[in-house]
Amino acid sequence: MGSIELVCPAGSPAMLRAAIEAGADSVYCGLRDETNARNFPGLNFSPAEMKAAVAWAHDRGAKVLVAVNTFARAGGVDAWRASVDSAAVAGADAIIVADLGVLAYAHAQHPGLRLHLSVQAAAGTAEAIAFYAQAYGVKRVVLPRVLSAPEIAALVRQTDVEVEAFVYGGLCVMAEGRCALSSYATGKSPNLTGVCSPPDSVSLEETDGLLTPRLGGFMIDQVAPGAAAGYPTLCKGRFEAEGTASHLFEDPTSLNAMALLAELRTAGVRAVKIEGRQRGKAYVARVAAAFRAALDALDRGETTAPYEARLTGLAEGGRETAGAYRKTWR
Amino acid sequence: MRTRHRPRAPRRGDPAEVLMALRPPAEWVLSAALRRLARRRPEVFERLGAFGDAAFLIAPDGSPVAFRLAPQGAAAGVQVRRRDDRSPCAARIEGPLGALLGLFDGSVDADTAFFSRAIRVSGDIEAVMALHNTLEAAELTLADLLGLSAPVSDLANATVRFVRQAAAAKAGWA
Amino acid sequence: MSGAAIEIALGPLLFNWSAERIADFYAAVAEESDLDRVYLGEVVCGKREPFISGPLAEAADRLARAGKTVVWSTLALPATPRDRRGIAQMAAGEGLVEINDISALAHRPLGAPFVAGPLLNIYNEAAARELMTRGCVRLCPNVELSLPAIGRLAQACPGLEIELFAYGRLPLALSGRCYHARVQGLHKDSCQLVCDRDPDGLAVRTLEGQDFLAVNGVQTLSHGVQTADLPIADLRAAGIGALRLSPHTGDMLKVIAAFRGFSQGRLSPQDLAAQVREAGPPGPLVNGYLHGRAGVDWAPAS
Repeated sequence: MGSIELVCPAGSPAMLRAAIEAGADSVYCGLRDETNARNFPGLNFSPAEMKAAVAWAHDRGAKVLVAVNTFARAGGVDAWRASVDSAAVAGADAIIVADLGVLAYAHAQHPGLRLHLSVQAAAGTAEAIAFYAQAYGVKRVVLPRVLSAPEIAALVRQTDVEVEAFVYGGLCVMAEGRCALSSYATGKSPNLTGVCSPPDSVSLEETDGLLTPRLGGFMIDQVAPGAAAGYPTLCKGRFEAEGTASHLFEDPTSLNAMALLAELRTAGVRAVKIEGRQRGKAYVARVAAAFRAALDALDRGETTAPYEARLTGLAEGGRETAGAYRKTWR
Repeated sequence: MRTRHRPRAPRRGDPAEVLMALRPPAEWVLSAALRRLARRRPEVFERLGAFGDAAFLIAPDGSPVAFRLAPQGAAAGVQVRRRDDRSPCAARIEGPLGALLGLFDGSVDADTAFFSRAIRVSGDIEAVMALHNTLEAAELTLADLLGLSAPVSDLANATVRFVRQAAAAKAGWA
Repeated sequence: MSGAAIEIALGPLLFNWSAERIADFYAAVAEESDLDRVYLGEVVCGKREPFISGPLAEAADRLARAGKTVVWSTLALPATPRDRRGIAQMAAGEGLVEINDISALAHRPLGAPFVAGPLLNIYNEAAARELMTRGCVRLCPNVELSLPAIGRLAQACPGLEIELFAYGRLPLALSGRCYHARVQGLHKDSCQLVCDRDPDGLAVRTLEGQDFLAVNGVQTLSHGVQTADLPIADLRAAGIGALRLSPHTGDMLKVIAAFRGFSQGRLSPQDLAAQVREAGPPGPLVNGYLHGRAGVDWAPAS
């Protein structure tokens, strides 16, 4: 059984360097526009920065995976094709794609460029994965975060395509790429613009320590003085149903599946992924180092337990979950 | 530029007034440093994108004054303002000085600072994200941006001392 | 093409209705002359399927005898081996099917005609053309798309029929987690199918009591009810060939008749909205997505 590849986020060249120096085998990043799913202001790479970053990473034996993983706008597909071309010119080791049209273009125009299927495509069955592999030569699939660990193991057995699974960071509670909650409230589709719960639609009011985040005017939560508060993402908010207020969709937790690394490795998962291109170099340095240590421990036949406490305090809302990997989450 | 500044009748013993009276040399030094940086590394500010002209009021807790930062554009510079300054700005960022400095130099990530509620943000959240991501990507510190060459910790310590003294003075005068 | 009739289609039932309710509903629908096509099949949750497959099969017979085109719709988020087998069987068959998950394409004979449902992520002409090469004859675009975006897509895909999601709570999200079960403190695996209590979904309000969303098992819908009241000439110009009405409680026959009248130019957009309101929709009318705005917005026809 080979080592698992550690795939870390890079929102900027500085963050890319921090991730690789902390032990990432690969980093993923995007161009500074709507063609990638973390299109936040001030984040991401210019084509020139990307080219330099790929060279820097390759000098250190690391890979760069370029996310072109939003869905192309009707009438504007050329911008997505241009991003694919930029990634190819930069020397990217693979591109991460979700849109059928973008996949078709990359497959036809850049046959030598490795294609990874983005989590945004939400391909959670052997059949869906087989379709993408047969039609577009996809070599790796990033699994949607709705599968349990045993389901992942079963899936790996049924496919020849490499499997990559998220193990740390912000957790989508909905099937990725198939959620329009944010656009219903704000008018901006995360699938098209690369921004969920866009910051220009967020407002925060604080009155006597009581924090009220709103998205598109809708109250997302009310946070008591001193209590931890997450970024006001709609699915992590508190709402009322049947007369009871609760975190109906998901508690403001973030994914930490370090304790499941051994199980994922046994299942045949080829790469594990850290979420959080928007979270900066301090975050990625810490998370990459912790997962590097844990994966190295697994390679030595040791347990990951000593490394599991290293990430305390980084979690969104201060809490962590193994998410869908444990079936009780459902 | 000191538009919209309304002169107030100084109240005896108000530390904010004392600091405000001393502000012109500080503003000059800080603004000159910011403009130097913009000339030296123009690419740093490219990331601000649409927020190139935005202004931010940065108010350390306990300090009677705040800094109004305009990173780029015609009005680029740093101004010292009273912390209750309400002149137009894109966003207001408040918190303990150490957390503010950490937020901008990348030693504390924005989400963590925000989740722990150490930092309080009001106004245009998108502008704040743009500023944070720009500084984080540039590998600059807020101290760099403010034109201070001292290490962050020294700056923090000096300012904490200063803020404590001001608070003590205020208590004494009250 | 300004003279071509716009078809009226009834989308798949998204909610967990009782067998009696399903039988009564489709019996009434079969007699409705203003309806051309009916989609049948469990799209949201495979656990419901054993309970509704009988009534739906009877409905299919009755609808076909009444001259309606019947199209079977696949599950949107297959979760179990049984779900996957169901999709495979449906896709491998010869009849026209609506595909709501890419899984189905692995089993669809190349070139066999299919409808691409709104829960597939087809946002642009390049993606739509990929499906057309495999047999896609009709697309019900993702509900996020504005009418101008649909128009651009349609123009670049000659021959592709476009069916607009024109009435009903908007299907916004799918999850591995069942919210109906979660609200009741139950686990998805032992959910007792509690989603049957809410025939239009369970209301979700903000902490201020503002109506916002509706949950339907693993699905989240809008509280507002999409009503495509844009000028019929604009719909035609954007290439819309069919209007999809999503089943709800209230007077669906009235909704169907109103949209038929609207599609034929007999009802103005204002009249359409008035008729739809009289039919008892489960929430206020919305149409923001079609105008490129927040889906929750309502821009009345001027």
